[in-house]
Amino acid sequence: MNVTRREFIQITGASAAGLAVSGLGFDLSPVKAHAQMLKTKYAKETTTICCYCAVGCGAIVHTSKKGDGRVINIEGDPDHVINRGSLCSKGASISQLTENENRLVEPMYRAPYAKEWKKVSWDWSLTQIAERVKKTRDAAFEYKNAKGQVVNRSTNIVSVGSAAMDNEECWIYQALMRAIGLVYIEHQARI
Amino acid sequence: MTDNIQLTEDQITKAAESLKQLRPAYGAILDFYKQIFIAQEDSKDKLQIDPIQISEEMLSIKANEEFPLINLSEFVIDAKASKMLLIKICNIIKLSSTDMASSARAILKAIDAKEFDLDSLFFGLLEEDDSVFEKTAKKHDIKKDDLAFIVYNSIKPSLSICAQQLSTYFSKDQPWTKGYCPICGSPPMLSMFEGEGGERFLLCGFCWHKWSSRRLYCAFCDNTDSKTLNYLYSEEEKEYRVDLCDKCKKYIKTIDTRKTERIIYPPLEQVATLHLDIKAKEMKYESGIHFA
Repeated sequence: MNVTRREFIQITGASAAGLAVSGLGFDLSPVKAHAQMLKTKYAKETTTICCYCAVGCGAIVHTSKKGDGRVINIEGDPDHVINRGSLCSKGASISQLTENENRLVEPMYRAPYAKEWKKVSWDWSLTQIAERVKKTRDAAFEYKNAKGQVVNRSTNIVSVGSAAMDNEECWIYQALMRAIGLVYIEHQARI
Repeated sequence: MTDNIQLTEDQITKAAESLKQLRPAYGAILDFYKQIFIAQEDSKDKLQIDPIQISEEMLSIKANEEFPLINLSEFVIDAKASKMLLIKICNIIKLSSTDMASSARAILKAIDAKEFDLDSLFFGLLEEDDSVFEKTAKKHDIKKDDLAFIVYNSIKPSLSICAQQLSTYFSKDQPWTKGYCPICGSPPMLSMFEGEGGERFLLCGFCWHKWSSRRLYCAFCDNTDSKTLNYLYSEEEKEYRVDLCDKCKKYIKTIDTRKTERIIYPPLEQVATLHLDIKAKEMKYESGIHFA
């Protein structure tokens, strides 16, 4: 075997570590059988920022590479300068944002004085929300304040933005709130 | 930055036994390597190695250029202790069922007859001089790979202690970001996630120095593109994964120490995960360490 000097040293290291174990005369068929029996999966990691609060902890999202691309785990990013791999209990459960069998995937409605929730359509829900927001907003809309200054605001509605929204979603959301004249706009991350 | 892996005989035995229970397929292999590793750890306590002195100026140059601290030829070996260990290893191999038994017997015979120049082999290995192994193997009718295996394993405790001493030159303020060993420049053999936060460490394939590493990157080609970095895992062996790089097609095995209560002795884990090497090779990935 003709090897370069650098490869030679690597071979000795590899031998010592057992990579060349087949050359030692051991019967490797049980190990090969074990390899064949082992069910393996394929995944990838992507870094992200936890959306739950303003601390901005780094996280690593593990996603399946088997077609569906679903999240299989989310953990703290040890390289992230803010949290060095740690996550609070809420952050540690962040994968449930997407992977949670109890998560509602259809709108639910409970009518005034009703005891039960019932499934409703998206169209109906969105129409109801739009109509009620408009009605509440218009009922207290001020064009001018007591000093006669133009304010164009409605103080009848307060918005507390969801922590499950990411940065970009929050921007669009607050833009909508401001457009309809809200001034009490908050987000879970600031509370 | 460093954490020298030193376990007692009892701990190594326990580590090997728990691995054997988990994976009986490795019974004979673990029985063999356990003895070698115990002999190596035992030898560490007796080593006398003068610390290598590196000047401030040289340290600064090495750090700026991202050069490893020393060349392989600069490792300090306790030749007397290494010789004693070599004899012990040969005796273990002699009684084993490995193909190396005849080589071990030939080496012991040559040592008895004072026909074996061990010093030239120890330093030949560090000088990466293949010819001294070629000549010795031919002269004593030994397989060259067997000789390299035995000689390397005899000086391994010296390399490890020497690396431990040198690691005091590093500080946490100067993280090593390269994929080769900051001590000797060799590629990593294993990767480990440790601590609650899952900090990644790489283990040198030559001196077994352990250094803190970035989490998401390929140590062999510096690739940081998450689209081409994947990993292989199994629900049946949650503490392991094989990190794969689609850019250079190399892989490295990773042990996530957070997912097991077992005693982890990396050299044993390396040996007891050959099935993962087989899996990775099936998928056309190569080890970052060259195979013999």
